[in-house]
Amino acid sequence: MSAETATFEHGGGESSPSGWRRWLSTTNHKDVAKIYLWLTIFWFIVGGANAMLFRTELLTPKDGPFFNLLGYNSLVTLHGLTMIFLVAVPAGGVMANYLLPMYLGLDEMAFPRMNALSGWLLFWGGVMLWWPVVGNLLGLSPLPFNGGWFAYPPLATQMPSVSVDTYVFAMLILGLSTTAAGINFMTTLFNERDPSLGMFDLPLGAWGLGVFTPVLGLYELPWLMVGVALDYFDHTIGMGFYTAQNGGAPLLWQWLFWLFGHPEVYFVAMPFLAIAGEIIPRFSERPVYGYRAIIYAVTGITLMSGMVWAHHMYVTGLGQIRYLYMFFSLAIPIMFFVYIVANFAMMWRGRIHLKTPMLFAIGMLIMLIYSGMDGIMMGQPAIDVLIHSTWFIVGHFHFTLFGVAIMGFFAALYYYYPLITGRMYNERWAKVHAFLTITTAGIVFTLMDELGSQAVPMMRRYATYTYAPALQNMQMWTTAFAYVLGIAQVIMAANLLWSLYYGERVDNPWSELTIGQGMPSPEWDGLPYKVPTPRNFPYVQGDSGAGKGTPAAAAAGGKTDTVTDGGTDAPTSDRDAATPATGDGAAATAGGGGSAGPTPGHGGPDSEVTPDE
Amino acid sequence: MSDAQDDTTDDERPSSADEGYTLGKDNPWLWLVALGTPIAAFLVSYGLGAYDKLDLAAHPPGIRIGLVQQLFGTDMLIALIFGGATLLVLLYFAIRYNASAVSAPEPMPVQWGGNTLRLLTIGVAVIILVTFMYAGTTLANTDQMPAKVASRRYGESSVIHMTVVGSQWAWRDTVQGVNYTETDTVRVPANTVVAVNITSTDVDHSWAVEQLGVKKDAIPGQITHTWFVAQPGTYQVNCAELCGKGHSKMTQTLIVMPKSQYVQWARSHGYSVPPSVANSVNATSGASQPAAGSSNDRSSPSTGGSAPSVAAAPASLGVSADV
Repeated sequence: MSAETATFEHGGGESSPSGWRRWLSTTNHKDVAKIYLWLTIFWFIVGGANAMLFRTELLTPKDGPFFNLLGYNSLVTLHGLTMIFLVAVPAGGVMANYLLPMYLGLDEMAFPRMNALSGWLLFWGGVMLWWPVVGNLLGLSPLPFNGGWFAYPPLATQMPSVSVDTYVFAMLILGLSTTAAGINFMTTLFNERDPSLGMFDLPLGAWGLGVFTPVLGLYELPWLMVGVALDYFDHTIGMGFYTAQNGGAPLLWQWLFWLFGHPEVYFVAMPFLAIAGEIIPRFSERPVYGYRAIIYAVTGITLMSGMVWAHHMYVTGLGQIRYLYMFFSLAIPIMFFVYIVANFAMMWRGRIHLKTPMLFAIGMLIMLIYSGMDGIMMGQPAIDVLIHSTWFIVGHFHFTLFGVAIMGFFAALYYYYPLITGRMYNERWAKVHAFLTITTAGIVFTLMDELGSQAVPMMRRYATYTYAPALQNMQMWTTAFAYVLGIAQVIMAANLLWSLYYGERVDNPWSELTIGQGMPSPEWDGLPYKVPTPRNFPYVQGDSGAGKGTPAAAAAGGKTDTVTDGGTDAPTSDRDAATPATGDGAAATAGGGGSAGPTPGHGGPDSEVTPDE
Repeated sequence: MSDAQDDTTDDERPSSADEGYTLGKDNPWLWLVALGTPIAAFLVSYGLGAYDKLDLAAHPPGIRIGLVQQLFGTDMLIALIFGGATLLVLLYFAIRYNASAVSAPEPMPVQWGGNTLRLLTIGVAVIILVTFMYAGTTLANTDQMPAKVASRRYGESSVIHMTVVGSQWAWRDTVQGVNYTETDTVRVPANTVVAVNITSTDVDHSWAVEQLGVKKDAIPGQITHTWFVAQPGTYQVNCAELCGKGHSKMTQTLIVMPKSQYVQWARSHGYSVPPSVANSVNATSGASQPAAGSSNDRSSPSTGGSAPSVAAAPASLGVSADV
């Protein structure tokens, strides 16, 4: 424990003034994670302020009064690029960098230097993306890139602006950053973990951060990198990949881009879907339910996410292949349903603590379901014709990207902030943030849905809506709630910064929650790292070297006894499982009770076969 | 840290001894409001959406939009029921099993094992499959309807062709046979299959008539196809793919005129009249005039382009638009 405390002293964000060299040269995964964290929060505030600007512009249907037409296009493009590539993607990187080694019982990533490289590429990618904005504000360059975040050529290749190049290079730099990080996470999980740990011994968070996210990243990013490289050759030396006049095909970009773009959505959501599998059971005082079911379902989601990309292109004239893409697109919610039900099962009859992380985790589930319902609509080509490129799409992907990825990030951030900084954030202001975010995000994105499903809907990327001035009322409400949503995020950033210096010092504010769970929380063990005991998760069966002294391990040991006895007696209570406070001797005592957490915690399909294996 | 805990049986858990940080009390009612807000928004949005869309599907301004709105409204109803139930269950769990209401978590219920999960999942899969079948049928209908309509109901002669060319930042629409090209407004006859060929001269655009369920990308170097059949009215045309500075102003008005009025209009402006339209007007004006008024009691949903003399025209082909 003392070593752990010492870690927190050094590991805090509050480096001494002379310590700047440490941040430039660090290869420590925790320090890199902090670089990721503050970059993410910085860009989140910048990208959010950006959104407030064009929300203001949308107060009136006409052109102006604040931005001209191209200025508006630049703002929405920047908002999209910033929020996706500089916020949602690195938000997963924050958690993976910090937590993955801890989940696996390691003291470092597989490639620490490459990890630092990822962090700094992220930094320079952000600079590259936003440099044209600085140049424009200084009057040095034309407006920044305004071809939309998906940059469809020929518009994007014909744009007479240096920012077309900076877009390409920003994508390449950020793509390299994410690729390097993905290789690192994956190698760390597969090669560096304790050999005694099987894949099904790993926490859900480790699966998400070390398997699903990197697999998606390494699958999807080459498509984007190739796409922007062709884009670059197209508009610099006229190779004409995307230019019809030169024999190219504008649609080629769309195929490449959406091969990347659809998995990207799952890529940014996956870390937090997985970490919710750590948070929700903890704040429900329950073991994980359906561990294997969740893993199989999320594996299915991961694979399927790479097979549905063309549902972004229904209106380009795809032909009969649309039936196939519709089939795959509609199949994904089935697997999400398994994930959602497993989370419900953890909450049902639990003892739920509505602390900030849990509130955001529940909010994330709500938004996930909402965006799933929207998604079922737009997966159907017949309906997609109606809502494609309207604000219904905008509402949908805000539910997905903000509601799932960003709110999941908030859940994880509030949960792990004390671990990362050694200090507790201000709970009251965190709850103000949670209250305002969950309410206003729901309202704002619902209004976006509504704007996009009117008979004459609001079309995407429209700087003016003089064709449908009746939408103004709804736009004004959207803007008003969006302001509140924006202010809430400033509260969050201020709270986190303030708490960095003045927050109450804590080691593990959630230790009360782990009492009854029969489930360890390896990430809170700190230094010296304790390797997660093989088979010590209540949802896995089999032999165990457990009983290392923590209640959880003891419970796991007890569970093993129970299982080998074939004992599936009626469990007493989870808290009984935690009774043995003193290690091995108590494990036998825990035997009966230990099954409380463990046995039902098996993934549904596995529980029957468990004892035999 | 947690091994510093000793087990207590009373409801109040001790705080973690070595940290001094305690979990405070929750206010479940506050969070009922907070978590309930997006759920309420969902219920209202989907409830109104389903109602509006099914209502619109009952009186559609065009065949295609009727099919699409029927599907959309039904989907929204399904989503409202199942998605709404799921959300309300989540809300109920969050509040009902709140720490202030529950003294200890129950052990994970064993009986709620794999079979329940399996059955629920199969149930959802069945719902999704039904949705898929319905959506697939609608897709097939919206894709193939022009052929069906043209051959079975309107006769081959009743199809007119229109070419739409997008360029920054205006549409140029040419109605074949009429041989006129317009940008701000385009006029087509009502209750006629309008087959549209779309392309672009510069960047990607998308020709969208939301009220008729029509949207197709205009891609340089490619020709894409769509179709619609509309009742008389004025419809908004938008560009639905970001195409640069003037994207939000790349709009036009589609005026759908009753056939006889359309013929009059074309002749008075010196345009030729496509034989298909002229013939159908001539054929019906003599033969089926008396039945026309009674066979269609449905008023046109939008009146922008209608003139008083043409009430019988939509019915002159013997079909209404909700085929």
